[in-house]
Amino acid sequence: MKKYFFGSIATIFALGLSAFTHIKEKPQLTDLYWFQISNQYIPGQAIAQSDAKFLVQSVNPPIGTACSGTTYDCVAGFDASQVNSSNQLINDGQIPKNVASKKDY
Amino acid sequence: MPHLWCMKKTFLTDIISALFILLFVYTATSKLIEHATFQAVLSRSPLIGTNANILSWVLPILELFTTILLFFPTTRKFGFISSFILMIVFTSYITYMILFAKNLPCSCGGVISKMTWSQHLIFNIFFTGLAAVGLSISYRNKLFIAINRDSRTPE
Repeated sequence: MKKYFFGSIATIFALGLSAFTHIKEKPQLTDLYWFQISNQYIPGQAIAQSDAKFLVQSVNPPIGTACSGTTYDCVAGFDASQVNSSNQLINDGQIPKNVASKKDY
Repeated sequence: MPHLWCMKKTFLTDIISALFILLFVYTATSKLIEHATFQAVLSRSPLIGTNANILSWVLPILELFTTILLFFPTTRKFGFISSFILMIVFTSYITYMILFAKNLPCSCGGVISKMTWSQHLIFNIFFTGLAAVGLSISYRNKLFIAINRDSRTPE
């Protein structure tokens, strides 16, 4: 049994870690600029300026249009440093601070 | 003295295999839990594209299979071979992504996906080296036993 000790500990530890990783994060209570995202962007991917249409600036995200999936960003929130005075993303390299809803198309 | 050295080597392979078990079980379960996202990220990769669906299942299954090989001392050598090959493939993929598609997010599981591409490359090189050490020790252990057996044959 001794020879399986380290392997068993590692397996238990890994399973525990992966379980903790997927606890849903609490929503941020900060003011964000919410955008409707067109085209297919996966979480963590930078959004092109032309694919982000400004919706509202608020703590709570808007519902968005046709956001009923789990794969691609649909309504995404950006902070003030990522948005210009015309409520557009400052460039094509901005990654959302929060994704409120997703879509599958 | 050789017995002590052999014990140290066994301990070292135990530790290295445990580290790989930790890595592969964690990343494989993370990939399977968030399978839809993992598949979507893979499909955006210029290297993978249309094979994303198959690969999104094959990769975590391969990682878990390698874990089983590493878990049992009798199959550990094959586990190290499999780990080494997997790490070489992952490291090559990351190198390609750094050179040609740096703007895409990493398709890795769990907290590892939070690393930058450069951090991930260093992390993978470290584990590739670790797999090489484990493999080397496994081969040397076999050689040591073979020499001992030869020395016991009557002249």
